[in-house]
Amino acid sequence: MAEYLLTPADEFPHTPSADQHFNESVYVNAFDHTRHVGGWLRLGNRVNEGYAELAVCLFLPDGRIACQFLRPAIVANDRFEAGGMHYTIERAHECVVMRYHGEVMLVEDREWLRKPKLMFERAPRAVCDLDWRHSGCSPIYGGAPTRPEQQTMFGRDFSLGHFNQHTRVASRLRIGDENYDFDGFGWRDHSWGPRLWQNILFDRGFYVSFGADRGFTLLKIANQDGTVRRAGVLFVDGRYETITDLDVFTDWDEHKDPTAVILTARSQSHSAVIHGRVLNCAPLSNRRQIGETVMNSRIAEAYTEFEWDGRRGYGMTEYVERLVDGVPVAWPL
Amino acid sequence: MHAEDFRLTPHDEFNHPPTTDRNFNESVYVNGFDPVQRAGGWMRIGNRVNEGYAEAQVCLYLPDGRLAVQFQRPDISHNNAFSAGGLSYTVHEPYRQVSMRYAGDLLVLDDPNLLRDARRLFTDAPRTQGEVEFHLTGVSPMHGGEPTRDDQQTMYGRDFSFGHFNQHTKTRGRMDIGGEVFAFDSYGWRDHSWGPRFWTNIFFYRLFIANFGPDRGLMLLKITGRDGVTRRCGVLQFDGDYEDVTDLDVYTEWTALKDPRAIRLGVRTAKRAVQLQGEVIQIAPLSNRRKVGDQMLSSRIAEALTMWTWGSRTGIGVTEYIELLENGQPVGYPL
Repeated sequence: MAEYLLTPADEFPHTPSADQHFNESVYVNAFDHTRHVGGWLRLGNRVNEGYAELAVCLFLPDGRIACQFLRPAIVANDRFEAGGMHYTIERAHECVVMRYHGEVMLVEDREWLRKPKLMFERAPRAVCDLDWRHSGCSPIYGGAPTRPEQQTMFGRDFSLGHFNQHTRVASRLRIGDENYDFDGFGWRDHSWGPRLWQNILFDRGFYVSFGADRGFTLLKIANQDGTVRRAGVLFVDGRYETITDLDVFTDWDEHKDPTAVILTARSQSHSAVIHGRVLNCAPLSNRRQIGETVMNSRIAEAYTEFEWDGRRGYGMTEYVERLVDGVPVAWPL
Repeated sequence: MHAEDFRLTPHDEFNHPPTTDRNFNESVYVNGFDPVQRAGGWMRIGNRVNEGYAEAQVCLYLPDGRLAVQFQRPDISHNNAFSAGGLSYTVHEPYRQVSMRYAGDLLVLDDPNLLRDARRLFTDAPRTQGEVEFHLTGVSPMHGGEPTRDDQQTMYGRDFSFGHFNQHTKTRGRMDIGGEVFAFDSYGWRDHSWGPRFWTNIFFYRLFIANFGPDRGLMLLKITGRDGVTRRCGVLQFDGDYEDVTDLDVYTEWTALKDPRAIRLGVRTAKRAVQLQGEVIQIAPLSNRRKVGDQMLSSRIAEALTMWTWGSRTGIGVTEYIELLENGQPVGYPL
């Protein structure tokens, strides 16, 4: 971790580079470990393109997905506030709050997420009032690289600076007339630097909490040259242990979305065998024209229940990968 | 593996001048398995001329689950041939045809667990006379050789072998075990290694060797050093050609004795991504011990006859898990 520089000032927006695709984003996830409700939110400022990427993705106990995807206009990268979403730092490295007040779509059939036009036209709406207070229960992992040749977690074509943390979450969550308030656990990250989603050839990311003392951030990733790397941490007894190895096995449904995973991870102190069962999956996508070429990526966001040493944890399984002729490039691995 | 990274000539099929390393090893290994009888085996001669002996090993998996084995350390005084302890290896045509023969005592085991106790093995196991012949004809390119650069990573690491090559083969086998004859005309694999070797230099690895007919096979290695660094290497044989692996994931299900019971592999090459499932049919739980200074190092060497599924194709081969034991526990378990 000496390879990264991180200061309290890094919790706040950075001066954007001149890159057209400069992104600065904050992401939080949170799950109730008893009632099967939770999800994630993200705000990504793309100030040099004049908008923010706003995403809300909440998995409800009855299987519905409450979601919103907007590109509100922004003119500065001096705050994380746009389109009804507002992220504040209460105490750097210790406590942040994500709020969203606005409309969400209530999606009963997740296949609608593959057809955004249909979803935006037809999905029923409700007002979402969300306030998630994330209090760190782990060290902070990451920062800005200190050497030019330093490998970063997601690769420099996806983020230059990046840090993340496991959290305890006090959640107020109201959707329409429904009250889904909970006290749970989650994870957050903050990234800055040039980003195109298509610069990831494929990745398998797992951002999961088992309580205040245990979790993991695990990533298997191939950037554009196809070389596979493994990165991340096991969170054991309140300490982060950098992994030295990671293997990932996935069971798939007929849409090539993950339904179950097996992870084996090794750190200097632990070997972990972890089984995951996907409870619900939001099959998202991203599309961007680069020169004459339109590039598409699938972003499968799977709410997943994990079992590790007899303990149960919850979090997100995220599979990002380019589509070639409509097929995810890394499938079936 | 790039062709320019390794040098291989027909002379490498034969014995190399030993270095002065006390633990210099030059070994040849052959295997052959019949997917119908779910039987076959492997044989190995490892000349350790600077230590004055050869490692001579025979490990045969019989259709009814018995094992017929032999492990000896016959004396040798030179490294000019692969012939010791009843085993002999002949290169008929470099890169094309080799054979291995064994004539001598075999220990026949109803219970492979007897292999966990070497002393009991040699005192208690029933013995019979055996005659074994494996004739191997190459069905794939050669893979490997001597590294051409000092910084070239070798497959197993330079403290396990300096030069190393291997090949998938058609294997015709005949195993006469005390008058019980098992014959097959199937497929197999061979390798040849030379250079300093301690078995206990391997922290842990998982090695998978299998054939799915003449055109398809695999040789996959996931190896972890004491520094915790894991490497993945090997080849898929597809339509007769070798494709270097660019990624390999391994998941093992274990028996109560911490031996592999079933395996899932995820393998990627530049051309394809495949999933394979393996089921262990029988295991030979071997071991190796060596005193280094004041310390006694022990490794487990689990040799598992494995049936494989790769899409609609069925294969057979051997799965080899080598790892140091610390306080009696394999260091790589449960991964």
